[in-house]
Amino acid sequence: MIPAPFDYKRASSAAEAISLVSEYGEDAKFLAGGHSLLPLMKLRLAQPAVLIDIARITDLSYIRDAGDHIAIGAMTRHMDVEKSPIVLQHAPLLANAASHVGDPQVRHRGTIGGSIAHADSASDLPATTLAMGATYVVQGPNGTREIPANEFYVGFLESALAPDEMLTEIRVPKMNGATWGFQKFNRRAQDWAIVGVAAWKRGNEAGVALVNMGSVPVLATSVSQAIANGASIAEAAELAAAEAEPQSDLNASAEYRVHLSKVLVRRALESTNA
Amino acid sequence: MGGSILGNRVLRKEDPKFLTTGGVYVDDLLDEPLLHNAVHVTYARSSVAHGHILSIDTSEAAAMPGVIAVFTGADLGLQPVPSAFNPAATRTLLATDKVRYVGEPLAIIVSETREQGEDASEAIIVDYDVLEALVDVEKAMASSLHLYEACGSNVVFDTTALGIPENSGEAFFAGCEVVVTGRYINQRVAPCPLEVRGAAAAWGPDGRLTQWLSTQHAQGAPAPIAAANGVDVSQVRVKTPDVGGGFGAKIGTYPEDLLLGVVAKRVGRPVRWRETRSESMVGLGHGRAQLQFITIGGSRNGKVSHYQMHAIQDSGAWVDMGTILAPFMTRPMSSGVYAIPNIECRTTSVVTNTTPTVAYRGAGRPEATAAIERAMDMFAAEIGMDAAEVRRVNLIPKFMEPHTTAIGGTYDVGDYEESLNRTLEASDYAGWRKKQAERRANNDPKQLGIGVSVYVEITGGVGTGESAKVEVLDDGSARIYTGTSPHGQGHDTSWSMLASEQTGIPMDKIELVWGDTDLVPVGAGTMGSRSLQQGGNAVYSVAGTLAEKAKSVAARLLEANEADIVLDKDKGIFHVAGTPAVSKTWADLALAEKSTGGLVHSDIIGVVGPTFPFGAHVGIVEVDTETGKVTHIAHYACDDAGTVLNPMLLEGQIHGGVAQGAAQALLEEVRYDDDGNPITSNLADYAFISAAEMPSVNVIHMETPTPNNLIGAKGIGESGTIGSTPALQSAVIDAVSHLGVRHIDMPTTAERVWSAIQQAR
Amino acid sequence: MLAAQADGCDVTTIEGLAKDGVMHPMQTAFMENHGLQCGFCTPGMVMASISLLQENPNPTEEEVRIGLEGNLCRCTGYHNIVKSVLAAAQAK
Repeated sequence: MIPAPFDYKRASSAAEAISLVSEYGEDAKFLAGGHSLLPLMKLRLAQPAVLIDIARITDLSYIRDAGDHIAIGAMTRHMDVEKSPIVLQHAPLLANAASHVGDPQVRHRGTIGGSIAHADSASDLPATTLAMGATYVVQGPNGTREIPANEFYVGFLESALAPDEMLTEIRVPKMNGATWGFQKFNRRAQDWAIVGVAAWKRGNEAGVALVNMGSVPVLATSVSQAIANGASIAEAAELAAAEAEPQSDLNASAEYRVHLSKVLVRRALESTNA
Repeated sequence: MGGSILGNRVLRKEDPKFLTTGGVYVDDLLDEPLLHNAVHVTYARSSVAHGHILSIDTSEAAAMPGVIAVFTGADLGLQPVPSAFNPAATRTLLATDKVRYVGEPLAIIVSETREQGEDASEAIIVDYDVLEALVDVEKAMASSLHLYEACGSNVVFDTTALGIPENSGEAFFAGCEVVVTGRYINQRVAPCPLEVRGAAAAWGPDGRLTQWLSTQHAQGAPAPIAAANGVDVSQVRVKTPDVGGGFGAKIGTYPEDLLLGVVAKRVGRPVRWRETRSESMVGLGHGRAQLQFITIGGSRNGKVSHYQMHAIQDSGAWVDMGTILAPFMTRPMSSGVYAIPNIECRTTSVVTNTTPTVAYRGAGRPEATAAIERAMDMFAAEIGMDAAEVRRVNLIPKFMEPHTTAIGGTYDVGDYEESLNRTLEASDYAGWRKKQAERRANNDPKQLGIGVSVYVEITGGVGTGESAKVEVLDDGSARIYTGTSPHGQGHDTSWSMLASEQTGIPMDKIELVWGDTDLVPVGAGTMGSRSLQQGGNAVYSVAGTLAEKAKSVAARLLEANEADIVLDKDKGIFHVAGTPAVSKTWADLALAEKSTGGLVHSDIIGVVGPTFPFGAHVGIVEVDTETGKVTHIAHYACDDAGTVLNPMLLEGQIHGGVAQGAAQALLEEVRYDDDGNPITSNLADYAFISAAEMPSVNVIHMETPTPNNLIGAKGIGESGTIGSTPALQSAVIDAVSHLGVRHIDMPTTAERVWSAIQQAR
Repeated sequence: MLAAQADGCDVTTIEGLAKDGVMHPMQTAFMENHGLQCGFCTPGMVMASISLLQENPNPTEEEVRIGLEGNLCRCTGYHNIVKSVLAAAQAK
């Protein structure tokens, strides 16, 4: 419960952060809200030698209507995503998912970019933005590049980000009236999901992603495919775990997770939220 | 004329401090002169559950920054200490030859800062010859590998050793129309006080050791501390700062507490120790951990005639207090509130490679209640009788003289049916049953479950009385010294109410002193819901005697007959009856007595015996049958604690008790993997109940005074836990009983409920 | 969070709530509704409750319960904490 010794640097711009991380290399970690990283450090499961605090990079905290999508700065806090009129209007699924992250303390401090860059399959926002077909903008020493969400998550707590790259913006397509549902199944309100589902549907088009159903957030393409092919929601939901490789752990067996994913996908798709 | 203050909702005197500057807990003693320049102690702990220690290499740790010293048990020359409950079991306070659970302390790092100590603890290298971990009580009973070889078995206590025969098996039930058996797991839970363990120790210029301790019982600590330090008990002073919760787990002393003086002496500086939450989850004692085999028998009309239980108590890796709760707390209460003519109860306590078990809120009685209540439900289900009705036909009828059950428990007073009636009515039990029937008829995926429990427990089972001293100071204010030990219960308010009632001295002019063994050498602490019925009773009695004593002083000063002196409690003055104009204040009397030892009275006041609070709970849950998810939606609690001193404090105790009962029934469980590694050792993994998992609690008042003390009060600290746990477990099972489910072990997690439904289908 | 992250920020703790010896309405509500027992969780509970009402001045009981999910208490069963927060909301 006491982290190993580390050094602390604060960056005031993305460029400075990238320059710092280039300087310290693999020993360095970005610190945004700290609600994913600091608990790991307190348990000494993570022992970075240098923390580069990027939470004060205020020009990365914004929510903008960018025409066909919403652009969200990586340092935007969960509470600001949850309450943003722009997000509520054009990407209500994301606003709702943000409202389920952790507890109020986590939502006040934690950031959307921090959550996504941490790439925890048990977190709510990686799967939600994956379901929504988001694009992540990352900045490195040689400029920026865009990574589609479905190419970003490569392994357990592992993303396509290079060590000297930083996530700067999340671009979420507007939902344009799609119905949506976010289902978070947990023991206690504050817990990570045992299984979570983010889903939207517009006619025969649907996007579904699963939380904590494997080492990475899972895009349930079989469900979307079935819907596209005219299957009922109940029929499609039976395919919920087709792409998933859930593990057994303290909170649930793999078998139970598979069952939950089917129920929750059905409920999420049946939701009439719009 | 003001009436009695007793029985009123008096706000707490403690609160302004807690709400403005915060409490002063042991880790906050920054200005304490004796602790100036203190060093920090960190314990290095075993990372394996069971093994022989081949070597402990401390050299790297000793060379790390800020490290002043590193000690192993061998360095300190520690000798084996026997268990108080089974002397064949011995251990050294730091493991030297063998480790028996993950988290067992085996070395001490002394450092300038806590952080340095934590870093250095990672550098201690221990070489183990790992043994098979015995995590499960049944495996431990069967194993030829013994945690304590000298015990010759992993069974460290059995009621047969008390001359109680073994249970007679199936033959006991010959002639019963209906016989139902069950195997219940009353799972291991973690007490989780918000303040973890902590202590500080300093040797004074007078050569005495002062130890500050986060404890429920300061007076119990000097003897073991003195023994560990090799000094006479008179050389030890224990002081109790504010304590952030205990729930039973801070009654006794732990090895980590006992060695601080030894370390302070070795390094020549005062020491502080405070564990982390991760350490606390494996180092602070756990609660419950009973495996229960029950058989219940009776007739088809609902009358239970026979009940048999064998409780296997998991002692954990040390023969600590958990060991004796089953024989001495669970067994006598095994009959519950029921008139069962034939009962057998055997208990067997077994050591395993897990954290030792100790008292935890209810301590043996929740286990007894959960077993008999679950058995009643299964009996009712077997004969198709309503859960409330089967209880009603078996209740012990109202009694106002002591009643002895077939197992030998003697209860003081009881009116169980009235508590059941009040709870059924206040909860609209019939209305809930109607709603439940509608949902079942509609095949609603979300089903309602209704759980009923009726319980009796034992409080004040520890101690036969308590010390109290009341003195009046020159300014007319009073100081109370009590052998009880507050850690949230509101003793300052309650004891002030009692003393004020007797003396007329305003509550805000009364100060409470506790937990300092120089100032209060005699006391049994706060545990087992004993405080008010023993400690409060003593304050009430002693303050009353002091008021009488004061009258004789007043008589002398007023040159009147003592018999003519009256105490005007509204004004706090003494005068001759009929002539209030000429009076003496408490301050006058205190000054007059100053030269002859002061206006003070001190005594140890006994009580007739323990008391037996009782009540009934109805818990309502909603169960999502597609996922198994349980939501606690309503709760009704009738807890009869006898005469109520302060209803506000009583309700607070019930609310907190219900939360811990709900936590055990629905959420919390300490778990280990097969190798004995704890997998719930932080509050992300351990499902500590939060506000979001609780409904409001409807408290139903009922007061049946006990004749066993002057106040008429029984204990209330544990009742809410004891009543709520079985009501909620029962509610969850009830919600899915129409699907064929008969039993689900606690905690009734979503997956367990879902699996039970699948298996029943 | 790390203390270093708060560098340069204003930090209000329980000690800074009372003004001229008069308790903040939330402190008063906790006192009047017996919203504390051992006191250990109390500073966090009071501060979180004030934050909760700043964002949602008229919460339902359920909103208070969800809003306090990040603060643990082992003594009160949360009943009187929730009651205190609702009372403080009413008092405004």
